[in-house]
Order: sequence, then structure tokens, then C-alpha cells
Amino acid sequence: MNKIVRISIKLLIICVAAALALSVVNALTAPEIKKLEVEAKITALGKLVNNGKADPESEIIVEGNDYVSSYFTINNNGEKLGYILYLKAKGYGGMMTVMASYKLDGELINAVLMNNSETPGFGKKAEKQEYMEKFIGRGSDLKPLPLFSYEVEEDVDTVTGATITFMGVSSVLKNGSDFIKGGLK
Amino acid sequence: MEVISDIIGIVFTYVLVSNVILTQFLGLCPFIGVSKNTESAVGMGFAVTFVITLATLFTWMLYNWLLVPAGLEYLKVISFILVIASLVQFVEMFVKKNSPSLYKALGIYLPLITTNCAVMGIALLVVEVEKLSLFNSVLAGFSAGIGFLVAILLMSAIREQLEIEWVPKGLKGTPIAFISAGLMAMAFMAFDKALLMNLVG
Amino acid sequence: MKVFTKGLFKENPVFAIALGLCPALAVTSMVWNAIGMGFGVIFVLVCSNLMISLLRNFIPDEVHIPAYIVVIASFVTIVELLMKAYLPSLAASLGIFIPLIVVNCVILGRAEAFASKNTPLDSVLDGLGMGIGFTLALIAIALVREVLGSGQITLFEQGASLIRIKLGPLSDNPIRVFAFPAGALIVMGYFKALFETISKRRK
Repeated sequence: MNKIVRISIKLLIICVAAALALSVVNALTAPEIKKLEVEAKITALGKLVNNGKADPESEIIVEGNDYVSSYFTINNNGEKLGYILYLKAKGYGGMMTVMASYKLDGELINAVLMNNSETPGFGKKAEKQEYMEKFIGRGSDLKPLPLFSYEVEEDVDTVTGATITFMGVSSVLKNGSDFIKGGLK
Repeated sequence: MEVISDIIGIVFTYVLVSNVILTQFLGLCPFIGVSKNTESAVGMGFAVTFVITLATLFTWMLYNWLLVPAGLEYLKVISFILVIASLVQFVEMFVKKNSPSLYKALGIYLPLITTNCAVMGIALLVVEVEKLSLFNSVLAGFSAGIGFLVAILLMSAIREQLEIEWVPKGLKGTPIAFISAGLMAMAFMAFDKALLMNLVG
Repeated sequence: MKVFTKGLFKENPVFAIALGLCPALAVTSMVWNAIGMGFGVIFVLVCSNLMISLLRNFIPDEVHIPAYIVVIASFVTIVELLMKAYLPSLAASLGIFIPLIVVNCVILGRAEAFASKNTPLDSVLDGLGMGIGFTLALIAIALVREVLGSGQITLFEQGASLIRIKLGPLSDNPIRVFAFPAGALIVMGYFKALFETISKRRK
């Protein structure tokens, strides 16, 4: 019995020491990580609006929507110009977060891929800004967003990787556009 | 309908599209190490499926009900690995006591599973990265296990055949196993998300 | 000295013993990822070897595996937090493979086989040698994969700073399959064959 107690105490000491060390490191790095997240958000917001301004503090959380987690309003001297949506791809095997700005009629102004957990190297292509250009300016009722890559380019990348992200990104952007057309619901 | 398409989507994704071994490289060590014959491959496959399913269940509860409310997400690695290690230990003891025949079949593979990155990898992926719901997480864990089983079973069949085929001298053994696995992964590239989208919309 | 050099070639963890394969193949689509992963593993390996060697008389034999796992997992978490704070884009592209260092068999294997029986200095040297051997293997695989699969070599990437060598026509028409999992397995197969042939010749 004595032996078991001794062993458990030793194990406990190791665990406590480990937890303490980790909490110290966490305390040191957590503000840094938080700062990076906020910075990334502000840069993304700046990139997404060419006209007017979106206040990083004006985030409104959306509950119970599968695709939109929150949104910001774009204002120009009190006049409402559009919305910036935080979109998430309904994820199995490759969660994606996209930030996209829309005009009031649902037309896409710009979009940035925030992070994706798709296998490194696969989804990389979508992070390039030119990739998003195929979607920009579309989304209003006159000009719908493309869902498949062959709708915008003849030269479809036949290697799978590209299609994966194209469909992911396009359906997310379309959901965002529908969210705005549906009166933010 | 939503629920059913979710289920199909998850199963299809974790068994075929993002097969643990062939596209995510999780659990590659046992995949190469234990695939020399079909019998041990099946044993390993079932043992992994069993442990992954339980591990996703327990790590999900631990993460969402304990670590997140307490703001201790940074302890996830240490707590997940301890959960998996003790889970493997318990499963081993339980199986040994209650089903000697099953123990005989799975016994030697169980201790190896603690350091099988498939278990830890899937747990991290579904619980932390994908943030699936409890039911979906367990389903994903189970499907990933089946994906592992499918891949290792196919691999063992290929390797048994390779034993009797002529193979260039330098490539005998593990090298040709890797190359065959590569060709298999190429075949699995046919299962992509576009196909899944057409399937469930 | 031998303690240090054996990990580089003779007992190279990836090519000779085939341990730690998951990260070796998963993160090697880019040289920079391989370097980052390698340094993470070196850090964890050296620290955990040192710690386990120092504690080798303290840790009870009956529970040595859980104790080692706790030590290793702590260092892995430290690496993860530091990388997220100071090298965020690397942390993003390595993804779950940073926390997965904890189940990298190389580390537990070295703790069990070496650090638990040897002096702290030797253990650090062993960890360093094995870690560098692991990193070199990763870089070798990544070099082949990135050159063939993307036609470029990325040596550093963090925010706006980027060191990337583009290889002319190959970067316009890369053999994309090498960037995919299938290519990784095939490259690994040929490396393994090369390694086995060389080590047979040496005997």
C-alpha cells in the first residue's frame, strides 16, 4: 500500500509541475496569440472595404445559422453601404473560415480566406487573392455566384485539389449572399 | 433529411475522401509495420476502430465540458494523450477479463495504439479543429477507424501478393510497400469533395 | 561523439527505423514546413531527453510510461504555444501535426531506450543527434517533393517576408502529384530503397 501511495505522489508531483510550467508559458503567449488574431481581423476588415469603414468593435454575433457566425456593418459617414460576414464552411474534413464583404443587394465586394485546415498544399491555392477575383462583383440577382469552376474558366484544373476548395469557397460565398438577400437571416 | 445527409457526408468523408492513412498520413507506422499479413491487419484495424470511437467520445466530453468552460484549452495535448493511454489500458484489461478469444486476437495490438497518431490525430481534428457535435464526432471517429481498417486491409492483400511477385532487388520489403501505398493513395484521389457534393448536395 | 552521430545516418529515425512517419510525410510538401517541424521535434526531443534523464531515479519504474508521456506532452504544448505566438503562419500550415509530435514514436522511443538509462549530457547529445537526423530526413523528402510538385523551394515564410526560389519552367508546370499524399508515399519508398542500398554497401 505504502508503495502505491509513494508512486501516486511522485506521479502527482510530475503532473502538477507540468501543469504549472504550462500555465506559465500559456500566460506569456496567450496575449501574443490574441494580439495576432485581432491584428489578422483588422487587416482583413481593412482589405475587404474599398469604400467606407467597418468598425472592428461593431461585430454582431449570429445565432443558429449554419454558415454565418457573425457580421459587421460597413458605414460611410452614417450611410450604410453593406456588410462584412464571417462565414464558415459546414465542415467535414476541412473547416474553412472566410471573411467576405457584400453590397446591400448581395453582390460580393471582396473575400479573404482566414484559415483552413485542409491538408497543407491542397487548399493553398485559394489563399491567393487572384483566386477570389472570380467571385467579386457577382452575387446580385442579375449576376449569380458561380458554383462550379467550369462556369468561370474553361481551363478546369483536373487535379482534384483545386476543385475541393473551389466548391467549398463558392458555396460559402453563395450562402453569405443569400443571408444578406434574406434580410440578415 | 438534413441529418441523413450529414451522416452520409461524414461517413463518406472520413472513410474515403480524407482517409486517415492515405490522405492524412495518420497512423502510418502501424500501416507499414503490421500490414504484412491479412490476419494481423484485420486485428489491428478493428482494435484501432474500437479505440478511436471511444477516444473521440471521451476527448469530446473532456474538451467541451471541462477544458473549454475552465479556459484550459492549452492542456488539451496532455489531457488527450492521458485519456487515450488510460483508455487503451482499460480496454486491454476489460477485453482480457471478459473475452479471452478477442484478447488473443487484438491483445498484442492494443498497447501499440497509444502511440498511434490516428487516434490522437482524429480526436484533435474532430474535437478541436472541426468542432463537430458529440454525435458527429463519435461518428467521424468510427468512420475514420473504418477508413483505417479498409486501407490496412487492402494494403495487406497487396503485400501478400507482392511476396510472390518479382520485385526489383533494391525495392524489396518496405520500399515497395510505400510505393504501392502511394499508388493506392492516387486511386483514392478519385474520391474528392466534388463527388461528395454531387452525392449529398 | 558516437552518441551524437549515430542518429544522423546509421540509426536515422525516419529512414533506418521508420519511426515518426506521419509528420515526415504529411508536412513535407514545403521545405519550410519540414524545417519548422524538424526544429519543433529537436526542441521536444532534447528537452524531454534531458528531463527524463534527470528524473530517471525519481520516476517509479511501474508508471514510467505515463510519466514520460506527461513530460513529453508538456514540452509539445510549449512548442505549440510558442509557435502560435511567434510563427503564426508556420503554426497554421503545420496544423494538428504540432500537437501530434506527442505521439511521434521517435520521442517516446528515445526516452525509453536511451534517456532512462544514461547521463543527462549523453541524453541531450542523443536527442540532438536523433532530432537533426529526423530534420535532415524531412528536408530531403521535402526538397524532392517541393521541387517536383511545385517547382520551387520555400526556405522561409512569415507574414510578408518570404524566401522562395522558383525553378523556371517547372514552377509553371509542376508535377502536382508530388505535392499530394500519393507523391509523398512514392518519394518515401524510393528514399527508403536508396537508404537500404547504401547501408548494405557500407557493411
